[in-house]
Amino acid sequence: MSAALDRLKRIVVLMMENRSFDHMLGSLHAQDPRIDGLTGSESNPDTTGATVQVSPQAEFQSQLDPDPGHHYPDVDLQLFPGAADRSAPPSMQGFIQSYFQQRQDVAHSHNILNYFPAGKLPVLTTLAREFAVFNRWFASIPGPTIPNRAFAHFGTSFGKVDMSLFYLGEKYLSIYERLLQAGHTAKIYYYDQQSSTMALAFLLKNQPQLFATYEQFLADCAAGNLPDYSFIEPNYTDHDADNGAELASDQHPDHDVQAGELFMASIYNAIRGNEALWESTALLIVYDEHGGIYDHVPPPACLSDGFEDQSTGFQFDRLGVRVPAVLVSPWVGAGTVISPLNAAGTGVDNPRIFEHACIPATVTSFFIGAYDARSPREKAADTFLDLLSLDAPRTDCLTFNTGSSAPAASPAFAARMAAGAGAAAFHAAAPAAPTAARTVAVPRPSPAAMNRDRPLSTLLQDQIQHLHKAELTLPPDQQTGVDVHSIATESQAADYFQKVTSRLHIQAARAGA
Amino acid sequence: MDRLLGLPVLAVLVATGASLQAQQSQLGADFAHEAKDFSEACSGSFFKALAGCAQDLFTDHPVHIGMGSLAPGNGFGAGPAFVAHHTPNERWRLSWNADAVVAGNLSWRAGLYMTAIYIPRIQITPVLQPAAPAAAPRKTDLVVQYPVINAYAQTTTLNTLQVYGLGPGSSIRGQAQYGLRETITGANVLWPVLPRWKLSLFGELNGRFVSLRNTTSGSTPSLEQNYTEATLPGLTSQPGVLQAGFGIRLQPALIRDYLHLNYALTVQQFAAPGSNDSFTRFTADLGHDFPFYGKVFPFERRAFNGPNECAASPGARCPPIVRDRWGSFGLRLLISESFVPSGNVVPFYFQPTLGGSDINGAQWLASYNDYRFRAPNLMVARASFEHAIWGPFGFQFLVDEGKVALHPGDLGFNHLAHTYAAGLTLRAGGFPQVSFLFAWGGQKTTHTLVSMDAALLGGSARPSLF
Repeated sequence: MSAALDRLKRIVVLMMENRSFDHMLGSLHAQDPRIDGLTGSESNPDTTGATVQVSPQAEFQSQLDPDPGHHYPDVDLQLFPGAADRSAPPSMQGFIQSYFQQRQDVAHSHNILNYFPAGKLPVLTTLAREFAVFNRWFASIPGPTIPNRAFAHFGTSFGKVDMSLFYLGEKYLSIYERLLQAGHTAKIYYYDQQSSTMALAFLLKNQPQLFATYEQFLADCAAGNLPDYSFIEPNYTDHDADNGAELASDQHPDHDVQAGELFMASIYNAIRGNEALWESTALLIVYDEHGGIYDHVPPPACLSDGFEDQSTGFQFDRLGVRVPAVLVSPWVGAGTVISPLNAAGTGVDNPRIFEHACIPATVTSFFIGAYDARSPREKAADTFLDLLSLDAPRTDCLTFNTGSSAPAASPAFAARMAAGAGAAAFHAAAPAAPTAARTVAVPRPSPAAMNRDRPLSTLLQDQIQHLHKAELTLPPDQQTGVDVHSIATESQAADYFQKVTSRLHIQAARAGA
Repeated sequence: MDRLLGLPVLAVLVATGASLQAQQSQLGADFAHEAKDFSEACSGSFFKALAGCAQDLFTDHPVHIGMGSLAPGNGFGAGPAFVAHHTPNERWRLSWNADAVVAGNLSWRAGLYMTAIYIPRIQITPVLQPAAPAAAPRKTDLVVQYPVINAYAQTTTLNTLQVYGLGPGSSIRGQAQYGLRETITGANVLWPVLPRWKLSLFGELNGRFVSLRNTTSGSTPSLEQNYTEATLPGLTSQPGVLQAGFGIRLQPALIRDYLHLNYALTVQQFAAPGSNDSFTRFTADLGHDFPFYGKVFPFERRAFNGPNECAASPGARCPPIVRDRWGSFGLRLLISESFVPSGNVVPFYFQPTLGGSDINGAQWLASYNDYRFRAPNLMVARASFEHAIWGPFGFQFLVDEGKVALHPGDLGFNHLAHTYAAGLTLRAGGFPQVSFLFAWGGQKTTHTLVSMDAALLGGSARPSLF
């Protein structure tokens, strides 16, 4: 067993809602060609026959209302428009056609090809680049939320492709029941009572061991009390809260995507905030399905799990559309891309295919070991803990500042992004700073709080060292020549940060050009 | 006067209609999908179709069947409900709800409700952090709560309400029955100001238009048979009232989350120009919740234990390390005081009540008759205990102590009426969601209470009727 797995005690899965890989992470291809995102030339025909290209115009909300179709017939149209043969690879050319059906509005139907520029999603894109991003993680079936989430809970949807909630008395135990039976602990952390939980199948079982709210998740992180396995559900609804309104954070169209970014950051920060927990936990962030939004990678065939849906004839022998998935751990090298795009950029050689059945497969394998009473799909599913491959935990991991008190920029982080991080260098500059329209004013500190001669904190000293390492990657004639050991005050540090980051940005721009 | 009652409703209808016009295409799409959704939901095997149809009928949008409990004595109502939403840009989320429910005794409620959430955009900045932050984040550090604005126009007609006289000396023999129609048009705003303390400011402005009528049933006399304007202020005339309110809500978690406060302090000014029905009301609602956490494992597993070897001896099971919410203990104090200028009165229909349920459905002194004690001032305290017992079931016990008073100075901890309630709860998701309680005490009457967590009921927040 690797050093990482020796230290690993907990697995946490955060499952978001209804966004495709290209929609959320497609822009990263421009920063790292190994990431199988968008080149900008991908297209779909609209209902007038015009060719529409993908566009980095995605907004946090307002574009995908009504909700794009993502039930089995909708996804079938998105993948196989006009095709009678389902055994051939999907063309992925029916997304606009499918979305047009929702509102009969040609211009509006083009929104389904919009994707987010990386700078608009600083949390997901940063985690994808700082840790491991999966190029080939697919929804388990070409259908909606509940059966796809069932694969994460049971390793199968027991032959269901619809939104039926009845998963009681089925032949395989959920991963939670398996863990409890084996003497382990597991919890589904749902957001709050108003948001409720999608894990309705277990709602009346194992009370209250299996359920807790997001607020307790934060407390459990702080106290180091996370169970062996945690499954986190975001807030599914806009609703009144103690202090105002809370927005749905699941990112399901047309919910606010930035609310999901904040939620994701909070989960990460909560784990990151407890050093012992951070070093003993693997966090997987994954989306349940694509939500009808465009992705360019055809879903592959897969092993049938022995069921057939009577209404559609679907035999569970093909995966759903590709979704974003990121594995976060200090034991994962920065810039890890699982199944990277080949050097020619034409595809992925010998890809490792992941889907939601990989979640119970991984958790069962790690905590329980051999376990036979599982679906054929889960038994065949790949596991992902081998990606925790470093010999020692990283000490250079980030946190996210959110809210009006967040600093406008982090020089050390910008430098790191510009200079390349870890074993796999990034290929472009840091995510673009949020636009002015999305940036709240940073309160001015009072004059009394200003002290330019304040001695360096430990944090600043570390940042100087990080930046100095980045500076050494520059050609000698572009380095600042500053002796970092002579930096003693905050104002001197600020001057140094400014000099180095400006040089690094210039160098990164040249590299990008 | 009745013609005037409709004007506020019409105004909100026009405003809502104008807003909806802008998204007619989207609304048309929603209607088109609803038929398809219903067809899909009602297909499949008998039980699946039954459940699917029921779910669709009662929850789908834009149109579904709305259900709601009217004031005690008026039963449960059902009727059409309409839900729509519009997200015009990245800054605002708007939603509308309109519903009308009619109960078996022909009491009804119809309303239009609009909610707007304003979303100031947040800057999220990745920062290199060589070591973990010193302080673990809390929900209030991490979750953004946004300003919310509600606007509404609602008319409620209740055919069976009871009054027993005013003050603590009222008697069961003073029971009289009446009917009430109240139209409320207004808006409120909840604006978060100190997230860490869960402190928010609340403001409201409402127009309230009440009309009374005599009703009788069986041997229960009508209002005018038992009371006069002198003994029951507001009996003979019900002027329109402009009511403004301001308050704060404070809901921090303290002592490592073992104490959750839920405080609301509100001042409301009721102004009735040209009449003597103006007064000021101060309300303090102080809730305290002490969650129990069982199965706390007080120490970390030893570092050298692997994930399958945490038990102290081979074959033994790993001890649980998570905190489960097995139950909670609660203390709540509600004080409402009315300050009335000399010569003015508080109309009886704006006076709060204790006993059974009040006109908003809040249960206090549950074994007493509904609306049993009524006065401009009241004070009530509740101690509650709830704990999981087996599977999804839990046990709940409540003790209420309270009194009403004609003058604020008469409130105090003497001569309190008291009731007890005990029963089962149905827990889901780790919390009690539905309770079945049997209440007794006080005047030796009993009540059976069934209640559901308000979070499960959904729908729009409705303005208080008093």
